[in-house]
Amino acid sequence: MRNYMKLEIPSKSLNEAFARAAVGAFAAQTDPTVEELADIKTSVSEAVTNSIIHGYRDTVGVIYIECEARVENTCVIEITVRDEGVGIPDVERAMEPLFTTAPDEERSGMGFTVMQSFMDTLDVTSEKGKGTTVKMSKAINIGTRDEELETRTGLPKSASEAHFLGKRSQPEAGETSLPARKRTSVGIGDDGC
Amino acid sequence: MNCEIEQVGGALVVKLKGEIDQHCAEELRGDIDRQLDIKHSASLIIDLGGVDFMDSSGLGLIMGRYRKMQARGGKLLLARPTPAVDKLLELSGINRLVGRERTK
Ligand SMILES: Nc1ncnc2c1ncn2[C@@H]1O[C@H](COP(=O)(O)OP(=O)(O)OP(=O)(O)O)[C@@H](O)[C@H]1O
Ligand SMILES: [Mg+2]
Repeated sequence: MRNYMKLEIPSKSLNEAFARAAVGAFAAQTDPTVEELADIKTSVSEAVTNSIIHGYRDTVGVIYIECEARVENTCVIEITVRDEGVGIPDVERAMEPLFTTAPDEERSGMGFTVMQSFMDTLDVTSEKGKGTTVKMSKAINIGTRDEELETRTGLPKSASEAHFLGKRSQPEAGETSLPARKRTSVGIGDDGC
Repeated sequence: MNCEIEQVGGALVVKLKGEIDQHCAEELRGDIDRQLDIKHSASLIIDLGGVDFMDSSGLGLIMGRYRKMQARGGKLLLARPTPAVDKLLELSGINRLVGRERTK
C-alpha cells in the first residue's frame, strides 16, 4: 500500500508550525507511537526552518515538501524538504554537530544532528546557488504493534494492513515513555562554552 | 507560544506554554532578557512543563540564556521537560551543563 502528499509553502517562519502539523497529520495515518510522531514533526521543523533562515536568508522563496508512506511488512515514511535557495558549500561540514554559520543568532548548530538521530535515514544534497534537498525516512514499526493489537483485541496479525490508514492514530496511555533507542548525546559545551 | 514571567525571590521564573520554534524564539528571547536586565535576577528558572513542541531553535534559546546567566555569575535551571523535550535536551548535551529545578 502507498500513500503520498505534496505541499508547497512560501518560506515564512509562520509556516514552520503549519508544515510540521501537516506532515504530522499525514504520518499519523500510519499509526506511529507518540514518540515516533514527535520525532517526525521535529525533523520536519528542522528542515523547513533551515530552508527559511539559511536557504532563503534574504528573500522569500518556495519550499517543496513531499511525503510518502509505504506499507509492506513494516511501514516507512519518507519525507523530502527542498528549497531553491543559496545551497550549502560543504554538506559534510554543515552536518557536523554544533556547526552553524549563524552563531550570533543563537543557532545551536544541532538541526542536522536532530534529523540524523530522530530519523532512520538522512540524505542531504545541495549545490551552491541552486538549493538544498533533505530526504529522510523513518520506519514505523507496525510489527510490534500487531502483537500489541492482537493481545488487546484478539484480532489476528493479518489485520495489520487494515489498521494502517485507519483507526488508531490517537496516543494511548503509557505510550509517552521514551525507550533509550538511538539516544546518543553529542555535546553542546564540549567546545568549552 | 505563551510565556509568563515572574520574579520569585532571587529567581526569575519563566513558564513557557505551547510550541517553541524559530518563529517565536526571538520574541521569547527579548521578553526573557528584558526582564533579566530589569530584575537583575541571580538565577533563571525556565519551566518547560507546558511546552508540547520544541526544536533546535529552543536549544539555541536555552544555550543563549545559559551563557547570559554564566556571564553575570548567575545560573540557569530547567524544570519539568516533557519526554520529547528531554530527548532533545539529552541529545544536545544541555542536560550535562544545566541543572534541574526539581520542585513542582
Ligand atoms: N536549506 C539550507 N540552505 C542553506 N544552508 C543550509 C540549509 N540547511 C542548513 N544549512 C547550513 O548548514 C548549517 C547547519 O545546519 P543545522 O540545522 O545543523 O544548524 P543551524 O540551523 O545553524 O542551527 P540550529 O538548527 O541548531 O538552529 C547551517 O548553519 C547553514 O549554514
Ligand atoms: Mg537548523
